[in-house]
Amino acid sequence: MNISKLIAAVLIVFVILGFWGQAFSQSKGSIKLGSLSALTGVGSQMGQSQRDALVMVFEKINASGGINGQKVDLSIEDDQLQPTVAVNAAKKLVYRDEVLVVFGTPNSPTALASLEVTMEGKVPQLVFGVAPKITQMNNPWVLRVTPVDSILAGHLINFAVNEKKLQKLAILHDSTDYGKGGMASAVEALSKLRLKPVIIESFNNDDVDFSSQLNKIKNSGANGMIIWGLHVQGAHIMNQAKKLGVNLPIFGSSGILQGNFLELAKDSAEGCYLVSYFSLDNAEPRVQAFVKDYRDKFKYDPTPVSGLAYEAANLVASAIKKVGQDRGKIMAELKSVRDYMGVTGRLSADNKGEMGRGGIIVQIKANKAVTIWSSK
Amino acid sequence: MLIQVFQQIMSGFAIGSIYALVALAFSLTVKALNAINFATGDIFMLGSYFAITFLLFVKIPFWLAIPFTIAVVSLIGILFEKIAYKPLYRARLGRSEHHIILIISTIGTGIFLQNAAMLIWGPDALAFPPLFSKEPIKIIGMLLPVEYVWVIAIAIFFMVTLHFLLQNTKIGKGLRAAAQDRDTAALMGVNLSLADSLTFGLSAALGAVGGILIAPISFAHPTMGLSYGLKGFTAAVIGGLGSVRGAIVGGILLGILENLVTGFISSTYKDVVAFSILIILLLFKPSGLLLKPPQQKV
Repeated sequence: MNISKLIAAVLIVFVILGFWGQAFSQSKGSIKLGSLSALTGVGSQMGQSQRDALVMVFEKINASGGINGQKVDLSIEDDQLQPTVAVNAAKKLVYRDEVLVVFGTPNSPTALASLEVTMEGKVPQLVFGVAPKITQMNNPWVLRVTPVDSILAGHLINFAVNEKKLQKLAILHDSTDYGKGGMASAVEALSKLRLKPVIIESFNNDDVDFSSQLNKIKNSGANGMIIWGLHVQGAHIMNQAKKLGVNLPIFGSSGILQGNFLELAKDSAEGCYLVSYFSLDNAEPRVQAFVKDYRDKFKYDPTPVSGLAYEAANLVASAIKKVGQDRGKIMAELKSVRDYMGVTGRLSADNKGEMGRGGIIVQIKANKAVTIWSSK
Repeated sequence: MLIQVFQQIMSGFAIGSIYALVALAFSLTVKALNAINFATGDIFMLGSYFAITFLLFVKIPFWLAIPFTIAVVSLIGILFEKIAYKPLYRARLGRSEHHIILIISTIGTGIFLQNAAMLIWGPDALAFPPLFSKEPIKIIGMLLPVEYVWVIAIAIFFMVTLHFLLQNTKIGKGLRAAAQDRDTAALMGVNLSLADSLTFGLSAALGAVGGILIAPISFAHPTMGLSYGLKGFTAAVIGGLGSVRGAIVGGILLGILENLVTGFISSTYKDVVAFSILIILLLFKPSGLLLKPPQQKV
């Protein structure tokens, strides 16, 4: 036997072994899914809670025999909150791991960057970021689980008008895209109820004196005030409203109940209503079960992103169970989701990929956020 | 309507007197050393943080927290002059790149102070303890938060004190002499090194007072110096950079103007109007409202 024959024989053995190996892995098989989020660096808390919620759901599924007898294999990638890293991490998931579905990210810039990769690779991606652009890129492979601001503004207005019977609302918003977008959504929600805001005022994020705006609102005859802004400015406005004797009921955006808002606003926030989509004290049994499981496993409270990831994992698992391992069919199945009730409220997909429809209203009582209303 | 105008003017006056203090901090170093100190906004931020620290963690009364904060921040100001200013000033004296180097040094100091504050007090905003009554004061139909009245009173007190210090004391006369003509002042026995340190200390003290006064209205956060520094500098230029009275007039004018624009037009145009006035003034009366145009000596 000469050397070339030996090499040929070895090659043949390898090829056979290779085929056999692949055949083996396909028959035994696993369902490959990917998680993309920031796990290190500043702002990695959201990304870690996404990963933890996914791990929790799929460990439970694997423990009870997997999906259709196949175990879930979750590849976890770290995007370090940087769009360039996110692109590379998404490429690894799509081309190296050949995942069926990508979960993440909770952060809009990295989500937008990674979406280009999954769109090219025709892989469904379930995003938790809030930037409007995410579902406006004519991307047939994107789904957003988070209820966006236009949805939340609708809930807040409905709550104020229908539950609190206030029809003369003032809107005070910051002059960033966030505040302007929220204002436009609130105006639209009011016009659906055939109402108009009695006054619209804005402020800049480095303002400290809001007395002009608050006095105008006070003199406008409004009987309720919508604030669309972030937590520091929200606390500022509530402190000054109290001092200037502007005692209108306050309805605030989801950006307000963040960071150390309750510490900054103290008793000025007492009684105000804030819109959100996830709250630990939500009495719904499914929310309480999720919160308990999560706390028991990870020894910390689930964040809103944990809730979204939990939702997404369950939806994907049931889609795969129904249609098998086919990306196109999974996507079609996810887009046909209607009125699914999860821990972040109702989910209904539209053809752009927007899924989150839920919303809850919390009220600040004794410096704590208490859920008092949730959308149907 | 008239009451509303008055109300806007009064809250503008309160915010404006804080701008005036920052403008004074800028003006002092410009007048004495012909140097713009871009760390002034961050010195102001330190004033806020130290005031809150003294009240919240050391737990001393407000009237005592003011001198303590001023003392600490002035010392930081003097230290800054000794470490990051004087050596550069000496080494580069008379060279053409002189000013740029000094300005960059003050910008660097500002960045250092911001990051130091972030390390010490954290990146989150810090709230001032509720010292003042939540009930607003009523004056002829106007509702004014109590702290606004305090801000105006304390700011005026310190402005008067500064005026007295500069005009009627030996130290003040020495500082003014050094500002007017360094060489002659030195010949007359003014200790220039001490005068420079004192100028920086005094400038830091005024910035600190501004920071103390904004704390009950706003929250303290590490990057707050940026916008106040910019507003204070604008106020100083409007009034006439280097003029004490100009800084006060410029600051209060800017505060009132901003509030009137917010009240009767929209807060979106607040900064547009403020900076438009700055540009117009720089075009037509670059020396500021209260300074005479510099006379060229032949």
